[in-house]
Amino acid sequence: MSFSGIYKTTKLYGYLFIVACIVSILFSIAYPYPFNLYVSLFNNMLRPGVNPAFVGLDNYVKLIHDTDFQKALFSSFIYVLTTSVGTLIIGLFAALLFNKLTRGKRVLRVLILLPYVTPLVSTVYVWKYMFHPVTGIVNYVLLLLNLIETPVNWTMDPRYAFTMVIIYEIWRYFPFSYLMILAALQSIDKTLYEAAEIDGASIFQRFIHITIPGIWLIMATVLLIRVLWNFNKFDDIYLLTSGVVQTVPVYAYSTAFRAYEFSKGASILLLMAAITFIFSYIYLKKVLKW
Amino acid sequence: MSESKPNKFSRRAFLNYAAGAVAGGILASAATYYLAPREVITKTVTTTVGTPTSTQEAPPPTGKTYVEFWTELVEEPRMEVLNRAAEAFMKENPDIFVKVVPVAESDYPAKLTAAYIGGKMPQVMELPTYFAPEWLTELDADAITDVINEIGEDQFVYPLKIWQIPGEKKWYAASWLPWLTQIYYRKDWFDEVGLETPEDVITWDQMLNAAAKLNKPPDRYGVIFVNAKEDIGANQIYFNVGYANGVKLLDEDLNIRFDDPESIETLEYLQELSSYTPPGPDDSKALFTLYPVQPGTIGIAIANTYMAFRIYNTVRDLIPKNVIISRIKNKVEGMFGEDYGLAIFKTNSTPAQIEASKKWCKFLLTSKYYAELCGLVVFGLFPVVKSVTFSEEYLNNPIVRAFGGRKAVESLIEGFKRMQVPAYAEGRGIVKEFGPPWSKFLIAHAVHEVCNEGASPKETAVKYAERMRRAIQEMKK
Repeated sequence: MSFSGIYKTTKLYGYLFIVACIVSILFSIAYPYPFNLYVSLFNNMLRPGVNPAFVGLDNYVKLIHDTDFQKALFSSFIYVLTTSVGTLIIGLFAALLFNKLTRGKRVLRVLILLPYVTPLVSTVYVWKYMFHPVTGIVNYVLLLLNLIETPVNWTMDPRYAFTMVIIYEIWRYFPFSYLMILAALQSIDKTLYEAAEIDGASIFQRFIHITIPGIWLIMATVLLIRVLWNFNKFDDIYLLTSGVVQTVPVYAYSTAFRAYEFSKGASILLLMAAITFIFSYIYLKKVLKW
Repeated sequence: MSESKPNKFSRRAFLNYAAGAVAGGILASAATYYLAPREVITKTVTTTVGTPTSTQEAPPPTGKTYVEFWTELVEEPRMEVLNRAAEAFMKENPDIFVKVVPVAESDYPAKLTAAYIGGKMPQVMELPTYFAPEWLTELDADAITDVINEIGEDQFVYPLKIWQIPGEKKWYAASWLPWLTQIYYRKDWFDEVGLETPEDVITWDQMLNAAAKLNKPPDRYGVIFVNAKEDIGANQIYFNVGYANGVKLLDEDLNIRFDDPESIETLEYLQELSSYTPPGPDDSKALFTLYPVQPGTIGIAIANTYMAFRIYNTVRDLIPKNVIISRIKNKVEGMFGEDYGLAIFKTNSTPAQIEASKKWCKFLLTSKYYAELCGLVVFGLFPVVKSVTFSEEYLNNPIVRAFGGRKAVESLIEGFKRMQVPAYAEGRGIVKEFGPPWSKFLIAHAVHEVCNEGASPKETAVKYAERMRRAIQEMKK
């Protein structure tokens, strides 16, 4: 095939357009990952006045037996499961509802998207004020309705803070799921529903046999994205609870930048990367069948 | 029928141009990276990633000695004074360029570590004692000692033993902005319920008794102190009250004493006191926002000298109803405080930069800007050089006058003279062994568990003492 023939094919254009993206991704991982690996193989790395000692995989072995890390990993697992599924289900309901509406769509669209587009710091601090144990409106209303006997510190008390971050996460990110699912819903051919209705299918049967097959790929993709994002989530959790809720990223931050255990922090982050990679690979092969 | 002109800008043409633009962009970026001088690239990278940005954005002029000064006084009014101070200093020293860089205190560990790794350490920094143990090897003690000797050791309002290298007449840093524990209480509420109103010293029993009598939730809580899990205030509260019970974190041989009887008693006391605090863990924000309000919800605040100016600025009516006490007593009188010293780093500094840093430190400690800066946060930022502490400008500050003027200043100085700092071990100076228990928040976790989870003080003390010992052993490996 001549050069001009190759040049004519759109495959080349596709590669050229994504090469910038690939180069920037490689650039951002080409140095940090090997450096992290290097740091994780030593003790006392990056500490002034202290000589690092090579320990091989000792940091990883200790990590597996570290009870604090085990708790953080379990917290991350629960957090990821509840928030990913929660945002997906609520996004699905919102999309189905929106799809059926004939009036008020513009207002509802704005209201639904508001949590997602508002800056993170603004939403976190509004929540902290609303849920403040002494001056917050939530405690005031709950006390008024006799739903609680004494005010509760929702964001700092470990008994409640974890639930709070889950609710916050679902509230803030369900609009993303809603947008993706809505787009998929609107691409389903309406005549399929008409034909099914004529054939006597119930609403539930139409949902199961037409809607779900039409949007399952988008839902599966959104679930993957949410799992990956939520597993690595640091900012929302840390800002809302000031470190009270310890998921793996928060634990890694505390370990590296507060306790000066950079080697342990590096091993936590590499372990996270490995878990993320393995999950993504299995999910893409088995669920999305790429 | 005439033929229409062919569309010159077809899809193929667009794709060709776009592909060319992408390829050209990649080549240009690569060329910039490899061909541009290293210095420029490093500066660009480190100012956008990892190291903090400065309010002075222009690069330093060539031919001048560059001094980077990191301060945790990030608030705009304070930065404004420091920037003016830098400009005045540079006018007097035209061969020196000072860059004032604000770094939030909570970001100190991450930013300073990034700077250390990147070879971009500042020349001068405000260094709190709790943060110092990790960085002692990087400090130029000779340089800061010259500064102290030039000013005169006796010109400081209290002895500088905290920063002193044991056995030597040298210091790691010069005292710059210390603060002290203070108890604030509502005298009007004390009078209402017939409680005695101490003026100079408050005892454990007085505080507990008052907290119990004043506690009427949800409208009013007896006391507030920091007991949140990852809050530095929870590390501090243990010493705030514990020093009055004779606690020691480390003994003379640098062994952990967190499970001593005095320590267990302190945790028991905090547990009992916490039953009169607002619900759930309280962090530093809660402490400094809930007390200074009218009519108020808190009877007693175990705070520090940072509370006074907040009361003045937000609820001045509270001042006549409020009493401030700087001394706590149980078995002994104890005074916990903290000192943010001026430290000179030798890590990435040339001899010329060290000399310039010395001049800058001396200027900071002796110029009128020191009084102006401390006047913004009266008592929270306390001037430690006599010529500034007893200057007309400082003593006539309206907030200083509102809280008692010279008498209040002298009372605070007495407190600073007795101040105890946990990072300091008698006869050994600032010790590295203090680092792991503090930086891992082991003390804060212990306080949190006894105050908010009802854990047994004795078991908690033993558990965390063991963790501290293990952490120190790990550090020493």
